[in-house]
Amino acid sequence: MSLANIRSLVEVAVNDAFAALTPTVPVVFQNVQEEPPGQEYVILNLVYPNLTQPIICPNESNIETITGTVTLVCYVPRAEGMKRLEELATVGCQTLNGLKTAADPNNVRFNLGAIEGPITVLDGDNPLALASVTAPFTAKG
Amino acid sequence: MDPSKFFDLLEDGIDNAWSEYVQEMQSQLTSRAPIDSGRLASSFYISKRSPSNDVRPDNWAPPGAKKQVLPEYTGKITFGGTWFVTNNVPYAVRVAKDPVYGKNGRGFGSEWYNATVTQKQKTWEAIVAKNLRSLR
Repeated sequence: MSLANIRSLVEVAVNDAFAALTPTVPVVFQNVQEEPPGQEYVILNLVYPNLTQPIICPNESNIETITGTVTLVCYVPRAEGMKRLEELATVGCQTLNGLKTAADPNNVRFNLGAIEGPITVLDGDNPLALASVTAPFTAKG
Repeated sequence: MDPSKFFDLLEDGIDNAWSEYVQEMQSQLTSRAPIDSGRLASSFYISKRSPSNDVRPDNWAPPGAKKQVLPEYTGKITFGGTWFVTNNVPYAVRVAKDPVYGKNGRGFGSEWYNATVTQKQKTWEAIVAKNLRSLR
């Protein structure tokens, strides 16, 4: 079990996908950067509600079943239309969806569940609009 | 088990499971939401057929009071129909979906809402299995 390998697979893929856009979009990872980098960026969050599942076995009480939730929150300036916001959300969805077959040096296996979103938040007095995509996943690695 | 009562027992088991599931989702959202006055955390309402319009008032509690009260659904929750858990606090969606505003979530940090909702199927499976195993 290596949560670092799982995180690495997701972070590298997402970072590469948004770096390939024009203009490039910085990705903020958890516990790395407190200040948002400008007006257009993406926050990537991974959390793990469960790592194991109980079984009846003479030696161990559980088997490894890593389940988690992955979320991408895309920010763009408000009041400038939906095009860029939806572009970023689409890139995020496609990248996460492609992780199942992504080549990984650590042989992490990653299965994404149904994606919820993109859910947009345009109201309030915040100068940035956001689109959030989130999905459950199971992983082994 | 009396075979003639099987379907009645099954129906009761599913009703109990659904009731527990709806209330569990409400409880998880309430207990994991960030809290300051407690207005947001206390405004997850259960309703049937259509989303609730209820919301705690602006003056629910002063900032920092952390006044958390679970809204009670007084009817009977059964498997039939469409059920909602609704929050009408004006800033609820922002706090649920924007990590900048939701960072003080009390379970999974800023992912307090996403982690609860995306794992709902797992919650349902665990609850329904428990209730079906208890059928006698």
